[in-house]
Amino acid sequence: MIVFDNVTITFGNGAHALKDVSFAIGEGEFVIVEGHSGAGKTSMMRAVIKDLPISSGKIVIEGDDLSKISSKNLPLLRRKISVVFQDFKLLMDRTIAENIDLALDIIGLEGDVVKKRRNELLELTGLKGKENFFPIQLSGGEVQRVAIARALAPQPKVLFADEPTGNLDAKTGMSIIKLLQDINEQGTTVVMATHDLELVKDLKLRRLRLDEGKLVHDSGAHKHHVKTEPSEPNKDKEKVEET
Amino acid sequence: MKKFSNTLKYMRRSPYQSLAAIFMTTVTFFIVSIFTFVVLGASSMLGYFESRPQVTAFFKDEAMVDDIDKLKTDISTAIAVESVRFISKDDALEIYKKQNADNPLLLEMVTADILPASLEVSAKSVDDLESIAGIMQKNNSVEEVVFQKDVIDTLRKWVSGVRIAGLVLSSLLIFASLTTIVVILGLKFTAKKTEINTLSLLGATSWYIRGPFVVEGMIYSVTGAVIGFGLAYLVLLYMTPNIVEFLQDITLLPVPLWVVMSMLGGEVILGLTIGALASLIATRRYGR
Repeated sequence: MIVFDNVTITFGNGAHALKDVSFAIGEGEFVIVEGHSGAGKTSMMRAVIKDLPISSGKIVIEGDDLSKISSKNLPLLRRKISVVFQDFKLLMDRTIAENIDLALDIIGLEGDVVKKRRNELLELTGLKGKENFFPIQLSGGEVQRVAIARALAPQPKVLFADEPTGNLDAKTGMSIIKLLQDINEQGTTVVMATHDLELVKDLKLRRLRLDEGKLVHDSGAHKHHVKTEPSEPNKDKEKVEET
Repeated sequence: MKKFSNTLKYMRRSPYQSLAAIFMTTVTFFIVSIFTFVVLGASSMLGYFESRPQVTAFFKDEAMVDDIDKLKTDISTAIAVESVRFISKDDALEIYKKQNADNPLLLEMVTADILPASLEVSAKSVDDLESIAGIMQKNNSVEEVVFQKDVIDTLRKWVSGVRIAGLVLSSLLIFASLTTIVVILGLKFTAKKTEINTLSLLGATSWYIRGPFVVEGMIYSVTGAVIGFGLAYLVLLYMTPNIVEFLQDITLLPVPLWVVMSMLGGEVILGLTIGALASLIATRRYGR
């Protein structure tokens, strides 16, 4: 589904955000991208939605070479691959409902359909009853859930979550991972980036480890071969225990 | 409809910028409307004079009926004319009385003796006026010859001047309005850069992002067009009695409704064009 083929991202000052990174992620997988701050996790996510240009290599999404996707078709890609940003990117002057509705409006939904879909998302993310709150009135975990709900609005095939547990305590962090697993169980491919190795150490999920822009470990590499069609979805995911 | 109400909401959030844009476009369309009214009126006046090419010969007091008849024959033989009308001293007095009916002092002072008899010749073409005037001037019984060619030439120059001045001034003001809207929408676009970036990352199309700004630009200029035209029309209505009195026989006013509606429609279309163009420039320029 997603193939990175020797992808390198070099900034103007010569620093590498990613260097010769190759991996493939299959449909329905839940993958953890781990690494310390500055390892290249965010750059990788930005590259997938073409928010950051790559210097060399190739990214293929569902068989389409990312470099060949025109700016006109870019919105379609970004509806297929949603990102939960590290800084949430919520509109602070709008309520939770309005933030979610915005994403639904973008994909052209109107009226009752918006209301129905919004309620489904609020239900899924456990935010029912908070729809008229503003982001500033919510806790860190709740804000993260709003960002996830909004990212799920266009029913993406892939959900990238960039440090979704970054500023949360362990308990809230685990509840977010549980939510992401629920989403994954419903068929969405989930890629979660984190620097918190302790939080995810017990999860039996595929891991990609980045270090200074290089892919130093891929626990599922034996199943995926770059430049080939993605293999079977990850069947041996382990559900996180409720904490 | 939702986009339209959202745009109005954004406009209310920065009312002074919105007012500045509307004020500028109102001034522009007020001036455009005034010039359009003046040019239309002057063109109609020109048409009026051109459709009534007339030469008038005023006779000396001692002119005899034979002299007048001879002049009539000379003109009719030489040039094809529309009509020839003799106005005696008594007829002239009657006309004078009608024209000054509301001024008894003037009426008391004038008698038929001091008014000259005259011959009014309506030509078929403005080009014949000079030839007719030449024949009249050769007649010894003619004291003075007055014809409209000078009036028409002056009016033509005047209409042309007003048209050029109007076009230049209107163009400058339209450019100023366009620039004002570009700057104001550019500022708003820049202020919402974070939100726009988020929309883009969420998969919003270019038109989804730029659409509200384009609508906003069009609202500014169309509002300006309607208010500017309305003010100019009010000025015209206010001045109508004076203009009617000044023009006397030339009936230009009231302006027919279809002309008013056509002008308004034209200005609204011009406003939509200016607003759309300005907002497209602003979103393209500041969206980089």
